[in-house]
Amino acid sequence: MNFSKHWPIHLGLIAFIGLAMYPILWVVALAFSGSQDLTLANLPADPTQGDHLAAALPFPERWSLANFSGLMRDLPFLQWMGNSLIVSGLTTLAGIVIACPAAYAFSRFRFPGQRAGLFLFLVSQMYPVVVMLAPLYVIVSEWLRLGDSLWGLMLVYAATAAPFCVWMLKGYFDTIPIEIEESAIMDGVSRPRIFWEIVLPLARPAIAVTALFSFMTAWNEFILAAIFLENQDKYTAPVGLRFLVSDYTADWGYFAAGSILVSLPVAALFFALQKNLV
Amino acid sequence: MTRFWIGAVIGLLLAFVGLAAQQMGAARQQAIAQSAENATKIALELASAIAEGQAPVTALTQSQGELPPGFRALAISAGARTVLAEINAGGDLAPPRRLTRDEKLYYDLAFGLATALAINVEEGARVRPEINVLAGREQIRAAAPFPRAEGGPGVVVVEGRPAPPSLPLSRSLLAFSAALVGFVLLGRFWPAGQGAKAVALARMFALAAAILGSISGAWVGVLTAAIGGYALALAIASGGVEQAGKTLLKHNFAYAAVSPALLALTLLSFFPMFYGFVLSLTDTTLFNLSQPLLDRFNGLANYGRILGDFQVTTASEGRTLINYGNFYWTLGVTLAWTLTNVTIGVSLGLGLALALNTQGLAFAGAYRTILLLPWAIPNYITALAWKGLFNPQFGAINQLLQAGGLEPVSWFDQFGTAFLTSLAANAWLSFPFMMVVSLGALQAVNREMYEAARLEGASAWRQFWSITLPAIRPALAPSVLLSAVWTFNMFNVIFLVSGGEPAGATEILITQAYRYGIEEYRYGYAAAYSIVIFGLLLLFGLVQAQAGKRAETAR
Repeated sequence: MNFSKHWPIHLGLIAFIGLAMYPILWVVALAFSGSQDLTLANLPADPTQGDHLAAALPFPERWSLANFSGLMRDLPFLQWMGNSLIVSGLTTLAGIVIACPAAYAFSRFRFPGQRAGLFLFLVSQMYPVVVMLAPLYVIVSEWLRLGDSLWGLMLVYAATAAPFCVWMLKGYFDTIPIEIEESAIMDGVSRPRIFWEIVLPLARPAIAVTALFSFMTAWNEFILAAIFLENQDKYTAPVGLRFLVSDYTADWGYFAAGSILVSLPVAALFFALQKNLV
Repeated sequence: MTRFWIGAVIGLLLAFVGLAAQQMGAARQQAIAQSAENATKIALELASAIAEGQAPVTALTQSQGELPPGFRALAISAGARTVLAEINAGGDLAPPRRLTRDEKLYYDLAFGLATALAINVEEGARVRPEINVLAGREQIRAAAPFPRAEGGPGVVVVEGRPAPPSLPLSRSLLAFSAALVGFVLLGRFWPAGQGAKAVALARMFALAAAILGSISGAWVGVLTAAIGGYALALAIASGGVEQAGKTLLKHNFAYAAVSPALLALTLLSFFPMFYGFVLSLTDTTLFNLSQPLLDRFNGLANYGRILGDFQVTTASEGRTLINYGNFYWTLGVTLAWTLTNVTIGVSLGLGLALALNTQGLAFAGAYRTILLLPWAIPNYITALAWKGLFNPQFGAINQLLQAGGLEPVSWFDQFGTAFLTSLAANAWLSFPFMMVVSLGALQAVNREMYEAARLEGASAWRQFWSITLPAIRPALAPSVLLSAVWTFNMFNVIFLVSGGEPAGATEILITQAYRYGIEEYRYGYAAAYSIVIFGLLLLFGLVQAQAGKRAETAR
């Protein structure tokens, strides 16, 4: 390793990393500070410049796990996490279950409406969900009467996840050589059995990656959940965290602790999957 | 003969359902009107009782006995803290929490009415409770404000659902049997072949429906059903349905495999889009959702108000004020937002990628992993954290400014600084993407070209402009466009960091649509706004596709 050769680059990168990591360190420090304040040190009535600096440096005055235990004890945080888990899990399941056969059909068969169907799946990815908020809200809460329910949220998530899953999986099915299936057809195996017993097992890695992506998307979704969920015990983790630092409350310590707990699993997933991202 | 029967039965069922639904709707309207009247009376009585000091506000929740079943009464007095406390009903020390949508309605209502009351009192008018009835979907809310010496004015809300009307079975049955008799008669005496029979049936059917409709008054439902039945019978008679059925059977596996996904997509993606378009042609709000769609229709008025309002500034007392709610202001902010973010994101990402791509750089992998972190964290958490960092009173950034001996900045009070807060947060979370993309593109550049350039004596700067940039541009362009669309739609950052402060100045189009639709309940207007956004995105996509095509032919 030749560190000295590129020292200006190293210096620049380290400086930038220091700057870029500051918000993360700050949140971590808040989480372990054991208090709900935004400042990391007590500000006296007439603070000096040093006091201000101490309040901003990402090292709490004392380290404590009180925010984590308080989050579990005083707030339904575990329930929020559980709700997130249920919604994201069901969304992923539903998305994969409806997307696998569709992707397979789009990949293997030529039928009237095939191109149009694929195009439709692409189009639905082009407009953001927020654009449909008003009609979607009326449909889900007024017509389906699933306003304040995890089921309603799951439905909407699954419908938005499906096109992505279909395109991802179709791409993978296209790479599976068709000869395998052709020889199975020669042997008189039926289409559903070929799909179930040959193609799906082959596509297992792609299905896993697709599932993890749609899980991450649902886990991180904030705005639809904020609109559809009203009762505190129905909140998903994003809505709960937002609620901790809304206009009426400012429990920054709880928020920071909760952020870490919510981010850790997805960040781990992200780094495991990052090779598939671009 | 089977065809004939299928067409006949389906057509009849359609008419029956349409008629029944229409009848039920009429009965419900009547029930709602009746309940609204009752609720109005009770609300007025309660309001004057409170105003005269005969009843305490808190006692109201216990007065359920006097109300019709399914109704409840609430009293809310104005002033944020009292409203919250009283809504909480848990006493004065109940922790504040997010209002549910229903409660927010009261909250807004209490504010609006109480303000009106206060103005009346100031102007010396005698204060009288005034009623304000909102009939939402199957729900009645009657609100009457009351003046009060202590605790400020407030509002009594009586709300509930009227008992659901029973299906007017007799009338629908009558319609059904009338159609049946007509159908049997015609079926028996019509001489021609099957196809002609089905068409004749449909005709008869439309006629019967029209007659019945004119009797019952429920013409819209009957007409729709009749047209539906007519079309269906025609399709069956002409063999169109049979043709479609054959295609379906031939590709049965493919269609069966695609249909669940397509159904979900249609129901929760295309239908909302279509419904959004329909809503955009109406003046629908939360309060008139139960009215028939035709009554809410107002043509292109929403679009006219959005696109036709060019008054971006108002001159007032020699000063020029900006109308932050104006569409063109928000559009300008959105474009500035997209442009600055993409510029920052690309420069940061490309710069970092160039540094990381240095040949033989130690720890390049570790640097890359650390720099990916902002991308790995959910963006709403990032946004909320930056909101905290920019907190004017306690936020770390102002603490750092003060540690450096500078004055703290009230970030969210001016447009420029508020815009900056969102910009900082978004730059932070978007540079890793551009970094990864640029790094991938850089690694594909042929190193020998640099060797040759170096032999020619070209400077590093010159190498970048003449070799690197042209080489990575094709790989970078799609990602830049993608990130432009992402930024254009970056709801979370604007919504959670600047929140549109001050006074909606930093709102972008997509958060503005949210404000209109979800916070102001103006569904129709918000839908039109959303369609405009969709149109802009579509335009961008088309221009991009054109440019792509031109680039391809030029190559």
